[in-house]
Amino acid sequence: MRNFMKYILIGALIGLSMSYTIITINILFGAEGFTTEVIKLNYFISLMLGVGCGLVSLIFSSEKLPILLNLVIHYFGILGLVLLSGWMAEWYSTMGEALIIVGIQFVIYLAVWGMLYFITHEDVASVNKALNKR
Amino acid sequence: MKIELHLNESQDDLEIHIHAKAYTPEVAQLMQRLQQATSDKMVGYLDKKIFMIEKDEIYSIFSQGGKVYYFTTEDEYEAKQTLYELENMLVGDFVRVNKSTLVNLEKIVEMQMKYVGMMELALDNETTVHVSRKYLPKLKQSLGIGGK
Repeated sequence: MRNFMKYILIGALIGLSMSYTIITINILFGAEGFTTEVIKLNYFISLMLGVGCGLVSLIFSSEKLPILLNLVIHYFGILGLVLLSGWMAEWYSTMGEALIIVGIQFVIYLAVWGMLYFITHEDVASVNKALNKR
Repeated sequence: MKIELHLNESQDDLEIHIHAKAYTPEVAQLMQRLQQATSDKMVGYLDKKIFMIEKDEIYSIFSQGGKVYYFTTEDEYEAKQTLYELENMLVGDFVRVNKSTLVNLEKIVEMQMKYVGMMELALDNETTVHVSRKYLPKLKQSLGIGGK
């Protein structure tokens, strides 16, 4: 339960921070259309997206599944949430824009998996080195 | 429970006396713990029989369905302690490698990495045990990696 709440809280804070940063950057660069209503809606959707992402991230608490499977489940879970949030907040308007989101997320996850794979490889090598020294 | 310590310079061996009204499960458990703390043998149960198992005969200790078992070449013996108790009792000989398994450090042959990024320990009885990333630091520390 403690873990559950921790993931929700972290997700919510990340969602709000990201939303705040993106809106601030957009306003700084002179983007128009950020009315109070739009900002409120974006904050709310980002908050919900953050909570959802936090819940999906609970998959990493599972010890039974391999890293790759965890990442695949996480990828599709987050993708679904991002596309749904984007549709509600009108972050994209065409199928092409939605596909760009899918593609960017895929590249990010591939990079994360690559890093995790490399770290695991190094850990395994150091353990085997210590075992051989005995 | 009252614990008394009597120091006597003329005492050669360590003696522990237990005074109780009756031989209760609590007394039995206490005796078992004291015995295991001072010997290399563990008490295992199989088919309603009690076995004294040498620590170095045990490859791993795992929990399954609310019970804890010693995994040896011959058999799987039930332990009466929890995995957490055994983990604390066997520090230096065994290390926890996932939520439900302790592994005998002397039985580890190598660590293997599966293509999907899963880690496994190969033991010298040709079995493998899954290593969780959460418990990897404990394993590394037990092997002297990264300082104690």
